[in-house]
Amino acid sequence: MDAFNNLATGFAAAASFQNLGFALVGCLLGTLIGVLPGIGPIPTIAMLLPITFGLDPLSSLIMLAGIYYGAQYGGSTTSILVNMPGEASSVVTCMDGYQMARQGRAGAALAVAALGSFFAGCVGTVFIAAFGPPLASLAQQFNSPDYFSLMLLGLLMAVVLAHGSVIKAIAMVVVGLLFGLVGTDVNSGAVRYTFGVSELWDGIDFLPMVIGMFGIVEIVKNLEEKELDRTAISTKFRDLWPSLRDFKEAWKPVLRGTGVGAVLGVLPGGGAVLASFASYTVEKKIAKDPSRFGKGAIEGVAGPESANNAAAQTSFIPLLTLGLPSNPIMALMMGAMMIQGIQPGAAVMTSRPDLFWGMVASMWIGNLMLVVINLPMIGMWVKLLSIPYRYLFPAILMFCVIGVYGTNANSTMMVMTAVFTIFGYIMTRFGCEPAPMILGFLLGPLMEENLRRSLVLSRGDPMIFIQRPISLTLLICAGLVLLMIVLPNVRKSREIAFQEGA
Amino acid sequence: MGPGYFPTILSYVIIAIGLIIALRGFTLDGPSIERIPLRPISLVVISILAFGFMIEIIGLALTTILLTFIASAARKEVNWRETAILSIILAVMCVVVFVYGLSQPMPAWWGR
Repeated sequence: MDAFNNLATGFAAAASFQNLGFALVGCLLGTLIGVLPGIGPIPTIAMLLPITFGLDPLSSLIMLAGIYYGAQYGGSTTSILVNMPGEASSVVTCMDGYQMARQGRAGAALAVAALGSFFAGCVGTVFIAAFGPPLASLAQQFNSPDYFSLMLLGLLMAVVLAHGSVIKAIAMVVVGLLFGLVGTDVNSGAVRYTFGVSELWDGIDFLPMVIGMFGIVEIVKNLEEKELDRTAISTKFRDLWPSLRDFKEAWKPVLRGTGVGAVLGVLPGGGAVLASFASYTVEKKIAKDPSRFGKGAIEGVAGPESANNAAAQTSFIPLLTLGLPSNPIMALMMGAMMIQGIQPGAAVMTSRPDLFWGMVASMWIGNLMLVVINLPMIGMWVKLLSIPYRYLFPAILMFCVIGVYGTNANSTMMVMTAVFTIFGYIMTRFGCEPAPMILGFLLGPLMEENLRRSLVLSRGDPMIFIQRPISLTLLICAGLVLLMIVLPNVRKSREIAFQEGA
Repeated sequence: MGPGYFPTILSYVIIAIGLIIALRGFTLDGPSIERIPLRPISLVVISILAFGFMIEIIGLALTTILLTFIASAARKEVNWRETAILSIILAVMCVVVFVYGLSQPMPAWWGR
């Protein structure tokens, strides 16, 4: 059993005292920001990226991953108790979770959400262990043209499955690709798009961009809204245990949610948010009495909560095997790896098996920690909700700027941060989500490199993309995705799927 | 395939998308653009720049206090006493965590 040996290596790496500590820190932080509305995993990971500079690569990835799936747990708590999703992926949980809480079944809802998430997390871990290696060996047969087509498909799908206007998202991806090309061209040494600013010769820095566009723009958006009243429905620990009936009603949705989430997590553009919406739709469709939904149906909590956690885990698969980030959070993880000098992709599994398997193992450990962190300590997390945003945001802003400044102590970095804050803010105002841009930004240099290498191989003949079977298949898929965008009824059902929760 | 090859392709794509969006903007009815509240965005940006240009001179502790005050003004109702207390707590926390704890390269106090 090769996979078994590999997992053992992983557990050995992840169970070191230091790495257990970082997993715990990540899970605690994840739960914290999951509970607090107004700050999600994207800004948090962006904020913490600079701190990971000094860490061992495995430790830093373990911590950052913990934040992502920890946020899925924390988000469900506020959805159920306060009717306020701490996290976008918990929006659907509000509908039935809060109703359950009002009927005095808050404990059952919380427990089902946590246990369902734990189960999904375990399955997700096994999923990565099982599908990672075959995908990676497939990826080793990829050549430049195949990689180019893969990235094209990945970017297109990421756009289709994301929120908001498709065409604006494509525009943002292309803008991101262009931003990624700023600086010295590796092949010719020509300096591009620097406008004489010498700080741009090495390209645009990742940190000022993500922290400005995600961390700080988020603060500005929150400041524009009125502070909401956040009173929680009180729960005691002894009420937490669900009844046998709850279990009977919940286990099937948990299984289905896990399945839906695990599959959707792997798709580019998928991830926790899409998975939870899809799972809710599935549960509602197959329920005998769909009218119970929105009035405290336990299936409406169990399914989506399992789905978002499963997806949070499996969305690591494309990044770790193909080097393709499927959503903005994975883009940040990719950035974190590149900061450490590791190029994500199939090579990681062979050159740094401890890194890959250690991360997989840490996810299982982290999920176990999260059940312990969340259920008995629920009262403490709920208390945190009473901290008003006016105390929080100066601290968040401070961490953002110190994070950027700490990596490169000069005022140019702060000017860049300010520029990207303004840019990100204007884009958000015009309905252009900044998230696809980050994907483009990271993939820009890679896409260009593979495009050029392919064309050099074929002596300038673009037919090379059609002649290679892998590339052709990927391009056909990309074409189908494009067709889907154009076809009106597909577009309509996509809109409906996202409106379901809004 | 010089350095301008890929950027040129991308630029044509952006131009095409821009035209499509513009055309749709003329033909479809949509909500008009909301007035942008200038206060939050401008004060937050000013506070970032203030941090960047002041920290070398006055150190982290005082910069934190400065940033907290500017950023707090981004909200409509500001309680200045609360902000003062908050800024001092934050300043102590930032110096302890970032300068002493994580030894980030920044001066804690004036001139040091």
